[in-house]
Amino acid sequence: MIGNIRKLLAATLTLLASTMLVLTISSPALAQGKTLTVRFYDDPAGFDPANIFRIENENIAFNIFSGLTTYDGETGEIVPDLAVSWETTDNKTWTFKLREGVTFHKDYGDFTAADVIYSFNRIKDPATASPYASELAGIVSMEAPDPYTLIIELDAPNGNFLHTVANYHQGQIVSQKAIEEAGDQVRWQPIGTGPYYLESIDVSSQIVLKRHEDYYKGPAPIETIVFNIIKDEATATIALRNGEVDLVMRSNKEENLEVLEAEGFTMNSVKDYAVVIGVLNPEFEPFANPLVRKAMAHAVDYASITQAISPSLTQPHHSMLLPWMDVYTDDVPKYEYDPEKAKALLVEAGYPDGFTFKNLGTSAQGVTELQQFQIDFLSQVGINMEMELVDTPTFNQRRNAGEFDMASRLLPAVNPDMILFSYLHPDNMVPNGLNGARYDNPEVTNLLEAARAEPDKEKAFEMYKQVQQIVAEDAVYLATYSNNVFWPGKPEVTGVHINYLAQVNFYDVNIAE
Amino acid sequence: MTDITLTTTSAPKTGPFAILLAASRHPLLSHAKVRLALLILIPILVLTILAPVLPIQKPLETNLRAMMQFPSIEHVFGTDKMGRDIFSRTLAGVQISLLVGFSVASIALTFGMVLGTLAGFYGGWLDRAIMTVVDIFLAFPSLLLAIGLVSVMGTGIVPVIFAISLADVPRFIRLQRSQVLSLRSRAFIDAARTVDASQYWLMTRHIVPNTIAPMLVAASIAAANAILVEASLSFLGLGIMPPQPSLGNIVRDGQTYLEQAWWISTLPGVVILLIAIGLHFLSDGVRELLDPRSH
Amino acid sequence: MAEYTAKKLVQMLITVLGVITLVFFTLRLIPGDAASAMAGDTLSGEALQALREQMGLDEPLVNQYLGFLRDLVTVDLGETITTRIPIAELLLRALPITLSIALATIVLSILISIPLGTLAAFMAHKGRNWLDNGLTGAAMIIDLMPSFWMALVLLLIFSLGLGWFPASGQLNWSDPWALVLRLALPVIVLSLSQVATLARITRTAVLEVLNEDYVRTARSMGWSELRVLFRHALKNAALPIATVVGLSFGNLLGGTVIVEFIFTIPGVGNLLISGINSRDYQLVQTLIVFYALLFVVINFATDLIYKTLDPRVQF
Repeated sequence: MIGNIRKLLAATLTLLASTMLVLTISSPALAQGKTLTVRFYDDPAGFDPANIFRIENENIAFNIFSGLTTYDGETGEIVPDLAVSWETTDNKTWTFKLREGVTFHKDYGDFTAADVIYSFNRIKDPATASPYASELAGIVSMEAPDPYTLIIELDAPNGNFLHTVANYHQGQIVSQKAIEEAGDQVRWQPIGTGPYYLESIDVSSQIVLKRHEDYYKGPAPIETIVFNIIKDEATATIALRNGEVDLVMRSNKEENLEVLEAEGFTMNSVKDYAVVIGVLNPEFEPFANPLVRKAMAHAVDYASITQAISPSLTQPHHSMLLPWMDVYTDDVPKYEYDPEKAKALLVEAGYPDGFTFKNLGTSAQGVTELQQFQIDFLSQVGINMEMELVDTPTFNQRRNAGEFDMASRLLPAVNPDMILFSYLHPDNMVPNGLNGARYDNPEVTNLLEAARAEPDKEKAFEMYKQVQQIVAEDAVYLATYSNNVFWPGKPEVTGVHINYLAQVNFYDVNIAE
Repeated sequence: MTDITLTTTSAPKTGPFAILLAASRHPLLSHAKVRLALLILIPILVLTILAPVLPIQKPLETNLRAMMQFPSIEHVFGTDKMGRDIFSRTLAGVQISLLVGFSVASIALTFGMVLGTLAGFYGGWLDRAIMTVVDIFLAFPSLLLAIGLVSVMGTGIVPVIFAISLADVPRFIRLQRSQVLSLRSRAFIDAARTVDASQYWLMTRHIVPNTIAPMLVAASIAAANAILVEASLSFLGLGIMPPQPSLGNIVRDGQTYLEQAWWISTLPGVVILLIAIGLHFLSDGVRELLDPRSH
Repeated sequence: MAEYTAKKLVQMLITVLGVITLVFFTLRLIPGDAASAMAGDTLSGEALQALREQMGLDEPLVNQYLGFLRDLVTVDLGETITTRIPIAELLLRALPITLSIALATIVLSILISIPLGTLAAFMAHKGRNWLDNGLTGAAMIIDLMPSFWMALVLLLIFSLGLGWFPASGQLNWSDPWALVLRLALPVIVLSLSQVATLARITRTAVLEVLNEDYVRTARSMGWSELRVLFRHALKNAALPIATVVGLSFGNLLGGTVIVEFIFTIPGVGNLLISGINSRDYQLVQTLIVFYALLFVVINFATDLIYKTLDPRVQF
């Protein structure tokens, strides 16, 4: 009997081994030099700047491409990238001096002003169908008097144009030759001037980046970056603890963060990456009354809630803008947790018995923990919040059209002017834009337009400050909490600076010996 | 359960107690597996029904001062990250799970009986048509069919029940059809035929009654499976969505805390297991009682 | 036999056509399309419409259906809608992985369950029931435990706790030992429930044979236990076991979806979940049709094998 089992076992093993042999695929041979293994959390969707979506893809593109400007990893400030300097007198005509000696990946030649003109025109071309075309719509003309000088003429003054041409979406510079050669595979064959190039990709398991040896700042310290796709959060955490990955891109669960911190991993993070606001529709009668909106703000204890749900990942916040933004001011009216005051405000507003409203959400997400707490807190002042859950496409469509009593929005943009314009200017009123509060205050509109055109930074700041004060006084949007982003990693992985777009420039990253 | 039995035996021989007493002497209850099954299922059922009046926190009630607490007298199963009472949530989850299990079993039983009987009894084109459709549905592995359907219909209790039922109905049709086929050819049916019985009479009096017991057995297994499939769907984010508790999503939400707070997901998991074991014993016992050969 | 095979074949083709039609039209009922799933909440209005046209989602439904049929017949599986990758390429890369897992699971579970089931039957035959009872109990509990739960517990114990197996990482086909370690946990999770079923079937089948008259005769003629076992018991138990293995293949395919997700294995199941999440009809419909085809063909093969082994079978 034992002999038989042995035979059976041998036969089985032979079968298995031969199956594997037949299926053998040559794996990419890893060359010498340092290799960093990073957890990637979703299926890659491609890296064509004209059609790029979602932060994780943008992070790969951020390292492959360059813009005229980019964001400093530590301060979040605009710094030179492909442009070494720029000047403007009226925020309308911008002259950029471009960097010399920059080369594209592989054999795609030197970078010149013609590449910028081609890249921007490609985004603007309706045939490209880029969702970011409107970002560059203000460009009237582009001229290159010599290969390293570029003059851009806008249709109206825009003090925030340097954000528009940063290394992000529409601002990323491509090579005409590479784009034409790639045809409809541009998203999988990105060629840029950044510190890394895409060596290989298996869309269901890994992305491999290699350093660009001719990068204008010199080659990056790490030669190869391997992104392993691990979708399950629990598995990703175990993979880091087992040493299978060196760095976890976005760890989103408080409990995992606690474990990793206790075990001595480096908790790379960026605070206040984005703010979540409640959009109250004044067409729902109670919300037209500022007293009611203030009562809503006073009724919920966001400090306790964020502390309970995720003290590492969230904290209460009181503004649409974030503290690190250059025009941010803390000098605005704030609404502390005060249920008695909330009740008094409701009485004053003529709702002594409260009211019932619906908060729009997606059935895919369900009722979030935050919303469960909101329901609890609001009920204590007599406001009854019901959740209206619809499928995600319907949710997006209704939220864009402004068909809700209340809905929430995450404001991740780095450009504060863009946020204020989108949410407060009557031109952007739903369904044409993001102004879901249907806010139309001529004073604010004038201030916004004047601030955008103002070349003097100090004067512009005063105007932005006034806008923030008026909006907070009116309680136009319900500020709730802001998010932090974590990339836990091994202690020997250094230089992981997450910028305010939640992205890491791998040029700064190194592995200590 | 022991308490109930004791009360029953010492109770007066009139009124509801007499009925209970009589019921307890029924041969069904004297079978060991059935007893064990009831011993498991009845307390769970009673607690679930009593949940609203028990002195426990409401399933959705949060408590910022009692988060992730170890099981205690106050919170029998402990509390989760939001300070919600797991025991109370589990009972609410049992309610949903039982609703899913019972609905799926009833739907599968009803459609299976009707369509299976029609196909088996009348044969011909009707049989071919029904069985072609059945074959199409049987071509999908059942979990995959459920995943596919829920992704089309959206999450929530109705889509989940529908998706799981749709995977079960074809199997019930097949079972019923094969039973009807074998009964139709049996001798006693032939006898009935010779006395010129109508087709309808044959079907309702002789064939269908003889198929019910095995179908009930299959239904209780289907109910247990439905509870497990709901748990798997919830795990993939396609089942019943929080904060509405279901056993599946409580286990899923709790599993990320396995290291810090094992009770959040383990105790409701044990309840799933108990219900499933109870239903299996019940079906096993009933089958053994009905099928003397298996003794 | 030829007639039987032909009849089964026609039946199979009708089923396959039904499957294709059902899948295609059901998927079109999903609210929202690949364009809006891809863009998340970043786009609206005209930009979204532009994206939709670019992805070919504005064609009439009937044209899309006929196109799908034609592509399947010509084995031109097309490209994913969102990312423009040839589906055949994705499938060819994912399929060996999923099949290896399924195959390894079947082999492992047969290796464990047949000796176990046989032993239980022998002991039950001798009146010692503890193994039998223990087996039944264990089988039931394993059968009823959600596989995602089991997977995570095994990950915590064997990967994190003991460090025996990796939790993630590339499948390295050139290093068989690493591959075995990488796939071990998912295969074990899937095998556990297979073993539960197979051991019970083996036990029942062997026990039945042991009670047959001819086995009693063989025994009374002084044959050794082992000879009885191999000459009669296992030979006769092979048929039901083969059938159950064939039939459980479908459940196994369903199970791979969950283990592939948890253990981050880039197999067909993972591809399916990605397709559902990104609303990529082209990918999802191709994969589901593919699963169904695989399942139907395996059932067909099981039928034929059964018929060959036991010509008395009537369907």
